[in-house]
Amino acid sequence: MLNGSHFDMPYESPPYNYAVQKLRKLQDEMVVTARTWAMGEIGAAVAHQLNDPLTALLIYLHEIERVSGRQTVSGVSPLLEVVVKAICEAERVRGIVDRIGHGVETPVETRPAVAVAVAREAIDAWAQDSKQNGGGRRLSPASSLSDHLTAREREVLAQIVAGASNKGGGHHLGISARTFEVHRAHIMTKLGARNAADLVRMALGEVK
Amino acid sequence: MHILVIDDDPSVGAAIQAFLNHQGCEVVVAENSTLGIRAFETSRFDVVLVDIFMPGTDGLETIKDFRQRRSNVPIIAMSGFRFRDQMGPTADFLSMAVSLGATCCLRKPFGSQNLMAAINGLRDHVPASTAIGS
Repeated sequence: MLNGSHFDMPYESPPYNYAVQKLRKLQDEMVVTARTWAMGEIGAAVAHQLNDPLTALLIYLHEIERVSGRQTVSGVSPLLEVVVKAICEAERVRGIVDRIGHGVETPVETRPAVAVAVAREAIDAWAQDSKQNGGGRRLSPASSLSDHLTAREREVLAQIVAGASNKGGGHHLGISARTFEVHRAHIMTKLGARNAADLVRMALGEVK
Repeated sequence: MHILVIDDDPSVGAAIQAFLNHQGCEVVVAENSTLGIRAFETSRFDVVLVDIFMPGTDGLETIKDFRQRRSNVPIIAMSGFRFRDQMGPTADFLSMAVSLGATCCLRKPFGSQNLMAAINGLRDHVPASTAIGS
C-alpha cells in the first residue's frame, strides 16, 4: 500500500473543489485566449493582403483630387467635393486595415503562462493542505472550514448561518448587499457548497 | 529625380509611377528583384523603393545586393509582414530591412503624402535634389 499521502486525499474537500473550479475557469479562459489569438493572426494575414490594393487606391484618389481641383474655374467643383469624401472613406478603410493588421493586445491575465502559474498555485495549495491534514478532512466543524476563508468571509458566513439576507447581512457588516453577495459566492466556491442550504449544513457540522 | 520602384504588385507600381511622374520625377517600375537589379545596372537612380515581401523574389536579398555593389543609393523598404506582439519587436521585417541597409521604411498601406514625406526625408542622402510635392 502506498504511503497514505496522495491516494487518501479526499476528493470532496473544499480546497480540492476550489482548485478544480479555478482550473475549470482558467481552462475556459485559455480557450478564449487561443481563439482570440488565432483570429488575430487570420486578421493580420487578411490585412496584409489588403495592403497593396489599398496603397494603390489611396495614391490614385489623391491623383483624382489633384486633377479635379485643377478643373475648377470658380468656386469648389462638385466633383472635387465628392472626391474629397471618397478620400475620407479610403482613409477610414486604411485605419481599419491597420488596426486589424496590428491586432488586439492579449490581456495579461489570460496569457497562458500566467494562467498556468495560477493553476499550479491552486494545485499546490490543495496538495499542501491535504498533506497537512494527513489525508483526511471532514466537513465539520465550522472552525476547520473557516481556515480557508478570509476574516471577512468568516463574518459573512456567520451572517448566512444566522439566517441573514444579503441586504440584512450586508447592513450588519457595513457593506452593500452586492458586496455581501460577492463574498457569499466566494465562500460557496471555496467550500464546494452547491447552495445556501449546503453551506448552512456544512457550517452547522453535518458531514456531507 | 530618377526613381526605381521594385514591387511585384503591378497596381502599386503603376500608382506610384503615376503620382511621381506628376511630381516631375522619372520613374522605372520593375516587377521583381532580377529586373530591378538589371534596371539599376543600366541607369542611374537617385532613390530606390523596394517591396520586401515579394513571393518568389526576395526583397531583403535585393537590399543586400545593392549594398554589396557598394552603392550608397537611398533605399526605401516598403511593406513587409508584421507579426503581432507575441513574436516580439524583432520579428518586424521592416526593421530588419533597415538593419540590412535600407535607409528608411514605408509601411503599407500608405498614401501619397506618406510617400512624399519619405522621399523628401531622404534629401540629406540625395545631393542636388529638390523637394517634391506642392
